[in-house]
Formats: sequence, C-alpha cells, structure tokens
Amino acid sequence: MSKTLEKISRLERELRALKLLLKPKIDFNIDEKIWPQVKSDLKESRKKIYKKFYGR
Amino acid sequence: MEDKRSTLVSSKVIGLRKVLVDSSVIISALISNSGASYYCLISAKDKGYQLVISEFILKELLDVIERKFPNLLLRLFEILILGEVLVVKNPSKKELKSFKNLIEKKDVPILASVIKEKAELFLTLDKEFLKQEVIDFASQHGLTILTPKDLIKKLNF
Repeated sequence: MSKTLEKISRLERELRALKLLLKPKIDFNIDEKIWPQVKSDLKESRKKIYKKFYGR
Repeated sequence: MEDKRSTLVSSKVIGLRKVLVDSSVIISALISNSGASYYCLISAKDKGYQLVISEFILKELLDVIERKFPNLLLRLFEILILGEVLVVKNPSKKELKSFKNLIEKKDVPILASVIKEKAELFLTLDKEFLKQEVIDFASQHGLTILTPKDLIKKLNF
C-alpha cells in the first residue's frame, strides 16, 4: 500500500513538472470576443434563476 | 464514513486560495480552449487555487447551455471535473440585502456568494462587476475582482 502511494506521489510530482514545461499559447482576445455574444443569454438566464431562488 | 470524507474535503480546501468563477468565464472556456478563461480553469489547482461556483451559477450555466449551446453540456461537466470545481450553497435572501444598491438585483447573488465564501479572487468577464465602485467595495472585503486575462498578466498566474 505505501509503495503504491509513493508511486502515485512520484507520478503526481512528475506530472506537475511536465505541466510547468508546457507553455500554452493563450489567445488573450478570445474572451473579449465571446462575452458580447453570450451576454444577453446569460443575463436572461440570471433573471430567471434569481426569481426561482429568491422570488421577486 | 461520511464525516471522514467531509473532513478530507475541508482540509483540502483550507490549503488552497478560493477563487469564485462567474458563469461568463465558464461559458467562454466552453466555447474556446485557447483563451485565458480556459487556461485559468484548468490550471487553478496546480497554482494553489480552489475554484468555486454557487448553486445559482451552476443552475444559470445549465439554463444557458440547454437553451443556446446544448452540444456543450457534456463539455461543461468535463470542465467542472477537470477544474475540480466546488459547488457551494447560495446566500440567503437576507444576505443579499447589503449589496442591493451596489449592483443590479439579478447580479447580487453572485457578489454575495463571493463575499460569503471569503473568496480571495472573483473571476469574471462581466463589466458590471468590474466597475470601480464594485471593485472598491470588494477590496474592503479582501477580495480582488478581475478578468482571467488580468489574472494571468497582472498576478503572473
């Protein structure tokens, strides 16, 4: 059991190290393009959910 | 058995800094996996942050996705699992009162959840939460409101 846990911990450390090596290319403009397209749908849902949880 | 499990979960959360995530960020991450929102959601745990949403936000996400993006429903669950997102209870109606003059009524449960959960960060794309008076109010409660892009660029996430 302890050997298995040791192995899992080692694998977790290795995965963390590998993730650090990966440098993803982030598109910083995507969020700003998406938000105006979904804003009205999200606000519509928010209004509906507010009424459902809290009433008027 | 249940007690032990909840203790384990709590202690895991205690060591991490809480970040409440707005629906706007999760929807953006669902639509594109090359943006800052997606990156923040999948990297948070490794950077020492616990992602949190409220029942209200979850319900809202399900509603938008079922109505507008039904093909993204499975993806939503994938992202929630990948990001190990914790779902917390909604604030009570009484807890909403102190925020009512600050932002629109329908946005109040989101801000109230962030304060109630003592989150350190609130990630959003919604400009309503990024107004100076809201940011100032939040900072009085030890909370920083910012976009995923700012989290990566300013806080070196």
